[in-house]
Amino acid sequence: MIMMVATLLVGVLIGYMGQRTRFCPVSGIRDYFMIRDSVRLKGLFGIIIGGAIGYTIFNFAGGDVPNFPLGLEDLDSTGLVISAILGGFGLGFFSVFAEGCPFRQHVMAAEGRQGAIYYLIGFYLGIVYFNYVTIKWLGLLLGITG
Amino acid sequence: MKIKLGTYRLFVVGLIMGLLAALIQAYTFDIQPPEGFGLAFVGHPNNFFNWIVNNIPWVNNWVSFPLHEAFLIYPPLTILGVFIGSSIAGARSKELKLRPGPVRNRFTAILLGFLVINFGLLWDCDIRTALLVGYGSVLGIIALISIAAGVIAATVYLRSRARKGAM
Repeated sequence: MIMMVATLLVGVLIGYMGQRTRFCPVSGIRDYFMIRDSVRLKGLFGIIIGGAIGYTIFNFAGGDVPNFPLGLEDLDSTGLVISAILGGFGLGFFSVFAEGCPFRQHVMAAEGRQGAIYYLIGFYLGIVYFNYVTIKWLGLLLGITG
Repeated sequence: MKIKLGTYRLFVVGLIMGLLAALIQAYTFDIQPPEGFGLAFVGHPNNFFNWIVNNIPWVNNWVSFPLHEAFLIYPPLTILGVFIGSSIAGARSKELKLRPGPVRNRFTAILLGFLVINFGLLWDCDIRTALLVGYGSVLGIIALISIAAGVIAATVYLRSRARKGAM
C-alpha cells in the first residue's frame, strides 16, 4: 500500500517537473549528436548522479538497497546481455522517430498532444502483443544462450 | 525566492528523479526485485496494465499476464501520477489543450508506440537504465550505450533522408 501511494506521489512530482522542463534523456542524446546542444543531455547525467548519490546514502542509512553496487552481478546471462543490447538499441532508434522517450510521451499525452495519445494506444496494445508473442521469442533466446 | 538554474534546470530535475527513485526503493520495501526499479517508464506501465487486466473479473477468466513479484497485490501508480502532475503543470502554463503532434500521422504514432514497448520490454526504458548506471551496473552501462547507438543510428538515417530530399 505504501508503495502504491509513494509511486503515485513521485509520479505527480516528476510529471509536473517533466512537463515544465520537457525532460527527455533520448532527446538529450539526439540534440547533442545533431546540434551539439548539451542542455537536455544534462538531465540524463542528473539521473545517474542523483541515483548514485541516493543509493549510496540510503545504503549507509540502512535502507533496502541490495547488491549495491551491482557491478558485474547481472552479467552472468548471455541472453540478458543480448536482450539489453537489442532492446536498448530498438528503444533508442524508434524513440527518435516518435520524438521522445516513453516518459515524455506520457507527459505529452497528458498535455493533449494527439500524436502522443495515439502513440500510447500502440504502446499499450504492444504490451498485449509482447505478453503473447515477443515474450516467447525472449524465452527462446534465453533458453538458447543461457 | 526564485532560484535561477539556467541550463542546469534539467540536471537538477534529473538529480531529483534519481534521488526519489532511490528513496522509494530503499524505504517502501516492496518495489523490488529487480534492483533500481523505483522509476521505470516501460516496466511500471507494463505492470500497471497487466495488473488491471489480471484484476478485471470477466477478463481474468481467460487471460493472465505476468507481473513482477512486487506488484502482485498493488500496482505501481507512477503513470497515473505522471498524468496528474503533467496535467496540472499543463493547466498552470495554459498548455493543456488538444493539439496535433509530435507525430502527425496517427498510424505511424501507433506503430511507433507498439515498436518502442516491444523493444523496451526486452530491457527497460532510458530512465531506469540511467538509474542502473547509478546503481553501478555494468549491464546498465551496456544498455545505455545501446540506447545511445540506437538514437545516433536514427539521427544518421534522418539526416541522410533530409539530404536526399534536399538534392
